[in-house]
Amino acid sequence: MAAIAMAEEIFAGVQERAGHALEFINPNRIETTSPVSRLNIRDGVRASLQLRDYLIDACKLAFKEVFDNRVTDYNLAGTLCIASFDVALKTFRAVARSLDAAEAEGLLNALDHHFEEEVAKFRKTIPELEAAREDIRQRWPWFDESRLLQSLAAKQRGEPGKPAGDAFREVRNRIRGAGS
Amino acid sequence: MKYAIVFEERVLDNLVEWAPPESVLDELERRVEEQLAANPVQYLTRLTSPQGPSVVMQYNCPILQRSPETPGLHHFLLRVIYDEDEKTLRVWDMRYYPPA
Repeated sequence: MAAIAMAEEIFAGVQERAGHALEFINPNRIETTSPVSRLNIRDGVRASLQLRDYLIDACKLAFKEVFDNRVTDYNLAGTLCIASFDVALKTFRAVARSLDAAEAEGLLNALDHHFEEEVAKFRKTIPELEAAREDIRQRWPWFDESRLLQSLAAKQRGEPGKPAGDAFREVRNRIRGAGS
Repeated sequence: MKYAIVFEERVLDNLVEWAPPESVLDELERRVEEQLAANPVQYLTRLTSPQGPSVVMQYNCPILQRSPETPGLHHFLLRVIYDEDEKTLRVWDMRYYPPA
């Protein structure tokens, strides 16, 4: 149960940080033509980068839970991790649209050099998060129910499976054969 | 009493595809025999399926390799079910995480 709680905690943490980033570009709250709006864009970018760091570190913790044998419902925990990426990506795309609009309006001229570096990092983050999401989707140890049903059917048909000693011998021989 | 451990053919196909180092395979075999077969109750965790508590158990097997060829933590997750005879564990799914 601990790992479900952690996945829920990660999802809640992402939502909280996403909400924080989106507040800076909320058109109902921010006057986009105001000279101050560039500072809101800047802080939206910074909040997004914090969200990115949180999510990357949180996913490492989620895998640590797997390896520490603290997950029982892999599909729920994995689904929450993927949903966390989806929330983060939507947030990044929204902030990117505001950033593009502000740049097109010339609102971001003469911002400090540090912010330019942050924008460059921000621009790289969407493809980075897309790749990380796909990596998690592929590597996560999902509970494959269809594969289980096939195994239960094979068991019912009396298919014996290969004893461990024979199985490891076969695997070694096949790996050596493939390498030669 | 030692339990018999049997592997489904597609799990073996997965292992061949991953091709872990031979020393890691040796250690995995030793652990399967000395831990899983000898004392499954101690080493197995029951998993939850999409429908709720399931018959599936999981054996987590971290293997720390210090040899220069394959250093780091190799991690295996073996998913098993008990056969009707209650003396055999059938490995029907496996995951392998080599060192990062």
